[in-house]
Amino acid sequence: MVVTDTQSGEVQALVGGRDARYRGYNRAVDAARPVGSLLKPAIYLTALSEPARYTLITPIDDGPFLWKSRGAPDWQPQNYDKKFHGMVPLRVALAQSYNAATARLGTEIGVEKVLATVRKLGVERELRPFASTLLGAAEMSPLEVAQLYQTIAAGGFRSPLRAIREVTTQEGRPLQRYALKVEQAFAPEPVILITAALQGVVREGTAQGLKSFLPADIGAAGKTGTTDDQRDAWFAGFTGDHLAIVWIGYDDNRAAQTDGIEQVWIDPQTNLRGDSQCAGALELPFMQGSAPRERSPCATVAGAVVDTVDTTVKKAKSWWERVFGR
Amino acid sequence: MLAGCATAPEPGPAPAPVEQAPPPYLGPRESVAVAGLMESARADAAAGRLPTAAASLERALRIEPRNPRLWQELARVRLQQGDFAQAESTAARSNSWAGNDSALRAENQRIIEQARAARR
Repeated sequence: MVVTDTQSGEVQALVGGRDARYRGYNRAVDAARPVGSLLKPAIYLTALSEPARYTLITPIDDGPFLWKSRGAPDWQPQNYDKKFHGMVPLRVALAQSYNAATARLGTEIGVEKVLATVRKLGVERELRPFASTLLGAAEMSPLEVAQLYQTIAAGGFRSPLRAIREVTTQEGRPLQRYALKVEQAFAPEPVILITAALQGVVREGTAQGLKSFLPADIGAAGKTGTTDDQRDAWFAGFTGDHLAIVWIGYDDNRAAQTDGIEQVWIDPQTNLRGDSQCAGALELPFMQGSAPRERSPCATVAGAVVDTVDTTVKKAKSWWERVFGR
Repeated sequence: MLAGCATAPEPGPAPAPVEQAPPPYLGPRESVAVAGLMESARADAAAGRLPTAAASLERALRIEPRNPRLWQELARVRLQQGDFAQAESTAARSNSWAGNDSALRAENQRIIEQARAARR
């Protein structure tokens, strides 16, 4: 996790893992992970820099999309909900993080142009100029992602992230200063537009689960990102004062979603299978097949036979879905 | 060439200013702490202690990051330091918070042009 000051680019917190005091491998700086949808704002910022072609309400086609290029396998991005949504306004395509619409938009603008935006946002790592990079096949560290979002959060002014202000002698005389540097990487207008779109992500999009934690008038902007099977779960968000990047995953690239677990309602009176209507009902995880099959009397499905109870089984929700309500 | 372009608004031992900068604004918008830092930054800049002046302004900006006067003051120090690229972008940063304060914008524009001329 990385937290910075949006205006000065000063790093305020950097946590490398569950054991924050561990002095070795620091994931916030050293881990390079696929960023998933976190790169999408660069695509939309590139688009919104051309107001004659794109505005926040320009219809974008979220129909099935196939990208063929010589020397690379065909690329056919799917949406998270496995559906296509037809024509959607540009801001909705970002708020809902639609992959097909975004891939179409990105290839329409041109991968090279989008990568130029990524560089202007402050990412120095060379990203490969493939269409799949658009949807976040590129790997970055949380600190690099923080630099990218910092430039957006600061209204288009890029400031190199700093963790040290100055080095002083024992008497406090400064030996070396790391001065605040700003560089105008983007005109203010397109950055205002992308910020409004990213506020939409929190207000009505994939990060709306945050609304239950944050006051509405704070105007938080953000973007979620996940990779297949929740191997990587990202969130980048900012307000006027602070920017935070969070990455969650396993070092060995294991899926965070555990398929071997099911969540089952248990009636604590009988310790049998109940449902949410039972008094004091608990939703507990069970290893696949080990939950009680017999129903408690409080379960509302009348006359249910033991063999059909599997309909109440649902896949364990990941922490990600619990927070963001996806 | 830049030696004559000092724009510190304080009277005192600063090199002779080519143009007179507008009088310093110490209005009610700054908190006491920030006004104090701004004042000491001006004194340091006038005395040629430019890194110290910049450090005070950065400290003030940590308190009031949206204060366009602080960004402008920092831009002026960068100009004096001969860091023209930073002078220009820092003045642009000031503009981004300046709203419709036309006097402030005009002064930022002056700094930007001066920085550009010096870079040529």
